[in-house]
Amino acid sequence: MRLGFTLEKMIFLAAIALLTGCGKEDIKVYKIPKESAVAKPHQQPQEQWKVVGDVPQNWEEKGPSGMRIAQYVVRGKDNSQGEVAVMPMVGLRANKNEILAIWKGQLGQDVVEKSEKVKIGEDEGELFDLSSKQQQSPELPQRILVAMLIKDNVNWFFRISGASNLVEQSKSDFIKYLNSIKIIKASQHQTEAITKPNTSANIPSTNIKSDFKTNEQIRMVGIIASAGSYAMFFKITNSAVERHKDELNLLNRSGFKNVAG
Amino acid sequence: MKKWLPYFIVLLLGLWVLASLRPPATKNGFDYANFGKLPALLNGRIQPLDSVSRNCLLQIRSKPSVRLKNGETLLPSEWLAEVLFNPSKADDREIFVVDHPELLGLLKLGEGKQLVSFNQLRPHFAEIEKQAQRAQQIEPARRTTFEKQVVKLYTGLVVFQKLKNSLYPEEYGSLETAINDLKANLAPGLEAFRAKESNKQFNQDNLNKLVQTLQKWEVASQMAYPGLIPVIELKQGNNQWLSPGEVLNQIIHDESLNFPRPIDAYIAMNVAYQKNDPNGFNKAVADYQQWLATNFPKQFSKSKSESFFNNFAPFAKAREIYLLAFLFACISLFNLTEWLRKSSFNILALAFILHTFGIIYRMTLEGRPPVTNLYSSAVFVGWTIALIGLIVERAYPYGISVLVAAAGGFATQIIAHYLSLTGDTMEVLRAVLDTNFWLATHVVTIALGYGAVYVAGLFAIVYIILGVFTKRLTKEIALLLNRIVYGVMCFAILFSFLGTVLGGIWADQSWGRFWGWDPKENGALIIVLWTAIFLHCRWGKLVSERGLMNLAVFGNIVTTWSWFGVNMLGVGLHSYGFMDTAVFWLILFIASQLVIIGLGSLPLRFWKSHPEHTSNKSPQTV
Amino acid sequence: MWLDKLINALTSIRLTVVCLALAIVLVFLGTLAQVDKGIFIVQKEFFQSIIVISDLRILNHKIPIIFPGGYLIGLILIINLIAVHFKRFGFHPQKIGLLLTHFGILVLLVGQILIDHLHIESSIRLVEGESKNYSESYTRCELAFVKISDADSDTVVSIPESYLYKGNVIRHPQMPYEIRINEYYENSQIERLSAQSNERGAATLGFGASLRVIPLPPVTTTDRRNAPSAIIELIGNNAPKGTWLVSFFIDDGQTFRVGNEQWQMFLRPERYYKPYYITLLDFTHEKYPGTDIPKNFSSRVKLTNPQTKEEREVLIYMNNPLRYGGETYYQGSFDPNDDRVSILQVVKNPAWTTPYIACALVGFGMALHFILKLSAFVKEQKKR
Repeated sequence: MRLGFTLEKMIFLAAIALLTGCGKEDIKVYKIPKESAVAKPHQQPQEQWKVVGDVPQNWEEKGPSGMRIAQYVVRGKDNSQGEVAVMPMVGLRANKNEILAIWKGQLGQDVVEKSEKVKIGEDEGELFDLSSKQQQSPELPQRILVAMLIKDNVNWFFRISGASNLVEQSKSDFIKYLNSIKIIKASQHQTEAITKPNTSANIPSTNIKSDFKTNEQIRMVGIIASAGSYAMFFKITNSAVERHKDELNLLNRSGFKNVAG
Repeated sequence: MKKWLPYFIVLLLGLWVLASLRPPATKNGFDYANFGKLPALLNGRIQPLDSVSRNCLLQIRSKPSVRLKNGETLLPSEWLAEVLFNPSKADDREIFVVDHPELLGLLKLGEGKQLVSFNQLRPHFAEIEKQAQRAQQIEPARRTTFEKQVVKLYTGLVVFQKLKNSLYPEEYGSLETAINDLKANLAPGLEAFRAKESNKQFNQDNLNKLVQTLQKWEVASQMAYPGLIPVIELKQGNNQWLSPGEVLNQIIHDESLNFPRPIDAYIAMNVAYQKNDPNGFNKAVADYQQWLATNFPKQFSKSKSESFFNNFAPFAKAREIYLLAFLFACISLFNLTEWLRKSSFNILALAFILHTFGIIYRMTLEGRPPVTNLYSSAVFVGWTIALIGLIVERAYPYGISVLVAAAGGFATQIIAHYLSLTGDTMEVLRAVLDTNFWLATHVVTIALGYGAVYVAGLFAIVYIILGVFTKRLTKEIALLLNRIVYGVMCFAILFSFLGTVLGGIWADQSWGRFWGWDPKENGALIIVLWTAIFLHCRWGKLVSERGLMNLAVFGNIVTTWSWFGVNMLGVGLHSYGFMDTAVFWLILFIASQLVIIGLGSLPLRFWKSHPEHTSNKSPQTV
Repeated sequence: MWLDKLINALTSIRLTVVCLALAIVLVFLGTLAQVDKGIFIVQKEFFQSIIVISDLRILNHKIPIIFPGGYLIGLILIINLIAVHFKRFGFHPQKIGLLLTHFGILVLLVGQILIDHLHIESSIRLVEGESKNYSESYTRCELAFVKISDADSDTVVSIPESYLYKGNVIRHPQMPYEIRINEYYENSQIERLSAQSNERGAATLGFGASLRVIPLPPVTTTDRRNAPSAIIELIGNNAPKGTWLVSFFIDDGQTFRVGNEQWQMFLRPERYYKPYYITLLDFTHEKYPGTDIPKNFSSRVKLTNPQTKEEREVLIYMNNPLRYGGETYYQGSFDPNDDRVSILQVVKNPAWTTPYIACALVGFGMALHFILKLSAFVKEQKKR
């Protein structure tokens, strides 16, 4: 009968609709081809280089992470700790004053700054000695030595930081390290590093997701962005002007500042 | 005699329209209109300096025109010429509008709406910048009115600053001076530079001078807003429109020192302007235009066409004529003479022709289907309403349809006008919207659907107003309106449904999801559902004729929600956004429609005329 | 009798109107609610439910909402549609337009319910030169344990996020250990402990030893996703003793040994593996000259299928997807900070044809119905 047929259909449809909504999710198991079979591209510039130098006994290697292609933990005589980091940056768009400002910021208000020339490998770089009279907070260093070198369009930063006396003790070691630096361009991308199993508890490296930047990267970007009211219009042109970079301060503030005097 | 009046009136109006095709007058001999035809690149599209000026003025003072304190008006291109060629004078023009009480207080400007100049605001720049940058961190929908106003003022100041530096670094005062300074320092400076590079003795002074000059140009070129100089055959191969600063970069890099013709042209204009030599100025403009016609014919022709369109302003004219048609139609409903009705029809037709002309002209200018943004949707919906009204009036010549069409046309043009103040109405389309096929099908169909629902709603409003307030709602008229509303609603559901579906298909083709429960999609769905309710109520005889009219009027609310309401969601729900103009008008409109529905729901004894009501009285003569 | 009354109600056009009206209110409320809750949650609570038990936030007031849900209204409409048609219309030639229309609506409603359950959206993020054979979910995460000690392939045990709650113990025959969830954070942030710090790491084994977890409230807007973390422990005779930190932020797998098997653990966006690889060869991002406004995006990709030995290049751009293997790849998005990154949107939707069929039916049916009516009307007018 017509109506009966309708009734059945209704119940049937109702059942479908209700049932499709329920059910607990299952654990899925499946096989995939070995990950190392997949090619990965050169993703970050730091993976193209390797830095070797004369590393003293009390520097413990930490392994690369994030922007740092080399890291060491410095163990001081009085059980204090400092750190050494090597950071190359490609396409950096700020001048050294801006970058020094970041580290000065870590030191606090009264920062004493000294600079001298230093040999980094075969090239000449500049060594900045930043120290504050008082430690800002336990996590932040009290003195930073940072050596800067521009080579092949890459800005290299070699930094040692920690408590005042630790850095003082390590200064000569640091300079010896700088003198002996060799920058090697890695010809082959190291896929093993990604799939190598690591069972020890002292995990040297952590590849923290690069989308979520480390604090340093964020501050770097912030300084560059703030150096100029019209940050979005800031582009370095390939003009003759570029060649005179050390004579120009391209981070002129906008007409606003000029106008307001 | 009366037979000819309808045509005579329209003829007069037509002549008035044609009269405005005359080229605008010169001011003190300077042909600014011609200057305004010169093309430039701004916001990704080539536009005439006239449009550049209007778009900048919109950002500076929310109006595409300059009216000074003494009542004098400056043409947009006139103002732009002053900014480019005499920036120090432009600094003194009182073009910035400040009327928020807290902002006035902050800037120590006294009470009431104030017109101020750039120079007058100079002492407060740091403060304005500080306040604006703080406000810009807050989500736009959540800013207070003070924060919105200070951001607007700051943006306006920035735009003004950028314009002043678009041709040359502001401090030089003129393009000629700037170029001469560069030429003077270039050769000695380059020589010094080359000497230094080869480790020879060099003149540090010359080098410094060159560096400083280049520095100034570098800053200016980064600030430049419109790209004024077309450059042919750059290394990249494409034609580009750059600021003179960027052009100079190229020239110096190549060390060719060949200044392109346009720079010479602007120098000539600059010189003539500052010497107060209108003939020289006009000649420089004309010469440059000749060069453009040969070397950049497509861009120049587009630029000329857009400039013409700006000045002719067919939509503004149509708006006025729609209003006139509305008045005539109103009177004809009560006077009932045929010549009045015919006049109103003819006037409506003229408005419609202008309206159509404007839409087609814009389509050819942009190379796009008629609806690409909110502004053009308003214009098109108005066109739909007018078209349906004209067709219905031809079928049923009672003058009511003219009333509806004219009201709809006028109202949508007002809305469009206010939308035009929010930015460039011909702005370029973002990537996902860059598809003419879907713009032509989905968007146009939806707009047709909106228009149809409004037409049905307007006819229903006429039904209720006639019935409650006049004696005109006879059996015949009521039946007529009933049929019209039904017929238009059928049209409405078909196009609304089709439009919604096409939108779904577009979404499926673009990102794989037919229906995403997005506010805009939901709004369109609600319209389809509402028109379906109307039709089902009619077929099932669930409501009376008056009930159907009420439903049709409610359709106006539903459509307006879908069209505008969904865009205001962020604002409306997070703040007491009543002071926000658009939200305020939306609520006012909804309230007005509810009032009319209220009237429609009144018991019949309150109606002055109604078929059921007057069944025992003799029918009124029509 | 009550059955007669029920049948009368179900076959009445009044029910249709009531349902349509309820639908309008539901859609309206859902639109308002998604401002604060996001489309994803509103879809689940309002449109894909039988009853809506939720709240709405207007002008800083929270208003509770109890209302029939989308599935309920849809279900009643479907029943009503079928019932009315059987009772009233039959197969009258004049009503053929209406029949088609309503049948089309039926297909649309049922199709949407099917799509709700069968439709999977995910994304692939590729840097130029990179290849991937999996896509990732936008919202769902999985706790994945991968056995890497077999020679020819890896085995993945994928545990849905719904299993991750404090105190739960997860077992599966493929895993020679059990997993206890000590802590679970739906949304979190990770920080590295500084070298000088004495603070204890979030876990005793693995990367967690030098990391700190900061719990965060779950996200409410559609442009962000939750980044979960969890502290887990492996239980079993052969499993290493200690706690591990798994997190959305930790890309590298943490390896451990159980007997002679080696495993890695990840907490990552849910992956959908495919039997083929997509390689991004080139990504172009055209902007309008002199602006930042995007004009066009396109990705040139290479499709490699080792099983079918297919290898070809395809161009994917806006409004022009790649359809392969039952899935469709759209040019979804890009990374504003990196010009070489392309993000493809991957959609698996077996029921994709239903809206098209439905709309063709409805469109045609409506047009037919109205044309028939119009011609009848005109004929009647002519007679007069």
